[in-house]
Amino acid sequence: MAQHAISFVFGPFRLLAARHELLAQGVPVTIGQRALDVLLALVRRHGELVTKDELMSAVWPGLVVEENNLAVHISALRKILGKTEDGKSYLQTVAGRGYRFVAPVTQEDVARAVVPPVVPVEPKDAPHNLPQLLTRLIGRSDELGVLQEHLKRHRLVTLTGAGGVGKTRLAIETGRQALPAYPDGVWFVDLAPIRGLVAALVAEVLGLGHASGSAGSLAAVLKGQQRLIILDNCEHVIAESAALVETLIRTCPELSILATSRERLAIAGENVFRVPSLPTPDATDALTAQAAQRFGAVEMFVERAAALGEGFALTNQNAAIVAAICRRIDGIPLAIELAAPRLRVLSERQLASGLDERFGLLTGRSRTAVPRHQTLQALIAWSYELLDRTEQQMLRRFAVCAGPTSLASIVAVAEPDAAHADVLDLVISLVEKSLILPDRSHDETRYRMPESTRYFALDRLAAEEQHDRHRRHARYFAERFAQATRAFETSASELWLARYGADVDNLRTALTFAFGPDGSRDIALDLVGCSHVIWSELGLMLEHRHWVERARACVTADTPPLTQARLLSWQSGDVKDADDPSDIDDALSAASLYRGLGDAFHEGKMLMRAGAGRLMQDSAQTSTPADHDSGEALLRTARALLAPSGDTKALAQCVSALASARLFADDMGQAQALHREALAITQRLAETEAVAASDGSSGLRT
Amino acid sequence: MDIRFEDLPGQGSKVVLSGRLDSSGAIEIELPFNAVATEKRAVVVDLSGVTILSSSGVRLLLVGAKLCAAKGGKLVILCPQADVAKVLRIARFDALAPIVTSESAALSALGSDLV
Repeated sequence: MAQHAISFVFGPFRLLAARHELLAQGVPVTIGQRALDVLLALVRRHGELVTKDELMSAVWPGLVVEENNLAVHISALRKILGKTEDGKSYLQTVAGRGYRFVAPVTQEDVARAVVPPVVPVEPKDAPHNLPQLLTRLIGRSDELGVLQEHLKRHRLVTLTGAGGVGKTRLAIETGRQALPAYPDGVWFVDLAPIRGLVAALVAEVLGLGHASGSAGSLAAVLKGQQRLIILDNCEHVIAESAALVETLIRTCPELSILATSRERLAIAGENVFRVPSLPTPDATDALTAQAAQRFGAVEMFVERAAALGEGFALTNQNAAIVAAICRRIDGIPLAIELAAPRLRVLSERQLASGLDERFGLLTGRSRTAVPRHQTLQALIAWSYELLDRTEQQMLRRFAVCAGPTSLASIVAVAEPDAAHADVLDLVISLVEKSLILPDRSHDETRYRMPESTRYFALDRLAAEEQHDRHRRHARYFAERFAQATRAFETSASELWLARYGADVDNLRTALTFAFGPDGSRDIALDLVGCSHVIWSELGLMLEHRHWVERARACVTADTPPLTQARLLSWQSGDVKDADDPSDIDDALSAASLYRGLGDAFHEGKMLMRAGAGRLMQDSAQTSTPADHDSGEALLRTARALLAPSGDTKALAQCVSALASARLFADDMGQAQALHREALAITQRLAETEAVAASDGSSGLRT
Repeated sequence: MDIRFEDLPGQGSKVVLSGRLDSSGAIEIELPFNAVATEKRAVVVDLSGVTILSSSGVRLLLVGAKLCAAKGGKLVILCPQADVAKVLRIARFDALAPIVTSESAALSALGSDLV
């Protein structure tokens, strides 16, 4: 833990390692997460050379990142830090190798009180994709021990329990502790955002794209592997999950599955573990603060209440009241999250009697009659009723969004006529009440709603408005992805992904609505036509293919040519193999549609795809096709169409492919000239992007 | 992105790639890589130094494999790192070219008529 309680001081700055925060003269500085990671890596080794590779693997572990991203963040850091008192730079560039933090740094230990404890050290035995828990798991050591034993004896363990009881967090930590037992890794698959395609999602998360995504082919690939797969939130797709798990368990003797679900999967061999609430003290206990704190529910309540910064502390005087509060809300972790913030405006005693009143109404004073899920519902309802009308409306409308959502998207979906600052105030107010959660793992802070709260809020959204909001949501994300597709041409992949990657859950929700019974085919086709890049960049080939096929089946003679063209505009090798003759035909059809629309750039891009595919075919054959439709001829036409739009990824790829075409024709001189030209385009793109990233402008000018 | 060549016994060549084989990395090495794949029948591509492989990189390797196959030769992938191996599997590349973890396995995958 020691390294988490450290801060680094240099000039007027203080860098808090654990909190991931940079202060200038005590005031937090606005800085991107990645830039902060770069700074931290440099400051930790101040005075030493940190190579580009070391920085990139520290900041983007395991991600596909273009090298110039680093330069972008270094340039942002130089701007933020400025110069030292004696006019020198904080950062020194070591040409071609890396960077060095050259200003003097002092290191201080920060009292634990200001630094929230962080999750335990992670064993490195096996590969995994387990999400990092943002706050530590409290009061679950017994359950963790029992679950390790269950996993040793049973290959299918299902964690059941009401919403909000903490199934997901327990499953993640169980998976982390079980890592040494699974040499082929522990893989976490969240099923919450999907309504089908369970096997495909599992295949993709596990990196098994060559499985076709059916249960049978997945089982064939996983046979003989010692893996643990965590399937989270199975209740959304219970029948499909159960069928998949049954096949996998039957066919793969070395595979284990840990599922979380509100209901059991109900298949043979299932070992059900009902996740209990956190322990609370009995009403009869005469409690000291020390004794109360030993109960998980109290420990969690105290931690959340102390974090409010209102001076709350557990004392011998308030221990019994706090214990009563925890009992009232059944020690349900999400209920504790919702109740603790009330201490901003209520005393402990007022909160306890408020809860008494609430649950008294529910049960007619017979406390025992309240089932657990009603406790949470009642608490969400109470939190909801305490909101003012605009906050309530925001909560209901925001429930249409799924997964981490940016403020701009919330505005567009929930309150398109309101000012951003006003919506931000509403969002912050809902965050303070724990009704929505901030998610700081992205370059900008995003927001999401716990599933239990989301269901509650959707329930309060009248059917007609629900339909309107979903429609608005789908339409907005179609536009957002159209814009993202344009921006991609001049952006480095990593920066692009940081901006748009987290929108994939909203995309799934929008597609599900748009293709659904109350949806809109027009919006559905727009969504698919504009989302090729995100599936490709996230490596989600099977989902990509599924939606493209579904959309193409909806195309009629009335479908506008632009929509038809966009549906076909995936990148080479994504939906079909690059040299598949039907892929080349699709690219040529798209090119011809774009030609009809007068869109030279996209016509060029599609001709490039066709040309590169044809070149691949040409190169593998001894006979040379007629010149007018050879790969090289297509690439030359493509280049002429792409060039007027300036430097783009497509142009660089096209010129590079032309270099190969000259190589295959034994013209090494021309090949090398073209190769140099392609390199120059990439270089210029990297340089202009560093500028664009700092002033916020980017995207293709067409 | 770095590319280096070593001779193998017989008609073969070993191509050692290192760095990030993403879209700009692929553009940097496309020509020299294709030149070897055009010239040689047996190519071992050592990916142990490649930290990142994107779909542009996969297409580059795919063309290389096809160029070798067109001459009755073969391309073999040697020692990809875990994340890179995952990308190759997603792209079904393992169905087109053998992926091996030692130089001796690479030579035997090429077969006695090539090296």
